[in-house]
Amino acid sequence: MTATPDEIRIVLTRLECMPANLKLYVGDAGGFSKEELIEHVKAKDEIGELIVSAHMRYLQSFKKTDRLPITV
Amino acid sequence: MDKCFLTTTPHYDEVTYYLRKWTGEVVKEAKVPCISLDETNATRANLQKRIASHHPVFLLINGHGSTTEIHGQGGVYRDANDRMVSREVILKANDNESITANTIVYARACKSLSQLGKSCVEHGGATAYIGYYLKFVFSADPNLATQDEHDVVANYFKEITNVIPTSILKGHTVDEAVCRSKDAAARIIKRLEAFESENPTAQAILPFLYYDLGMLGYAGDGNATI
Repeated sequence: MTATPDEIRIVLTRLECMPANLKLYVGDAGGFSKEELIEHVKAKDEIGELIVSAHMRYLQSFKKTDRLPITV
Repeated sequence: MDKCFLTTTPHYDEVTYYLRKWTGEVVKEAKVPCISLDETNATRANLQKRIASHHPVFLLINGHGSTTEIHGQGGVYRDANDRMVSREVILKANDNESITANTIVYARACKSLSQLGKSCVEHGGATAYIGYYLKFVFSADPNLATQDEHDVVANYFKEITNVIPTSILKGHTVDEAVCRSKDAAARIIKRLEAFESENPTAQAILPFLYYDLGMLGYAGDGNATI
């Protein structure tokens, strides 16, 4: 699913707060710095879509009552 | 023959560096003998040969993957983008999944659960296959790559993934091992959410801890143990 402009805006704002020392490693695509993640989100490519999807899925999870079940 | 398990730990980029390091901790803690196919030994031929000769009960396969295959190291092959890469396909659906017969597999690789995992169980005879539906994602501070104890971020992701093989090797069922991973992720997420508003690191990694929690699953017998 393609991210909406609002979703992209939300995620870019969140990415701006990401510490500069961290990298995100995405499978065989490798590791991405904060600046690189921002570029991918702006480019709306596969990596960017994954980043937006992950952030939005997380934010939308707060609507669920069983978002973090502990089973053991 | 005593029970043993087998690991593949290719090492040619940052991602495989971390997976290899995390696997080392699993092996160190395990009370079951390990056959380690490390770095350039993580080839298809070695995998097939060692499984045939040692009959490991558990396979911990690390590496890059896709919906239908997982890669090792060494060899040269043409990938989906028509690039020559120094990786080798060591496990592939509709190809050599029979090597997983009578084993529990944990594939710490991207995307392989829904097709390769299913194929290993339905056609290959694997007892169970634990893996991920989409890409496996983690975060770390590369400046602390050689200082494990200080990289708190990487250790969160290490904890939620390593608990799977350590649980299997301690005799827990497949379902219990997956639940323990999800519980570990849930606990870490709840802890970090308590101070997310003041902690940019927490805000940066929480979506991906939640993402990995959702992407993990298994095919086959959830009650299986080694």
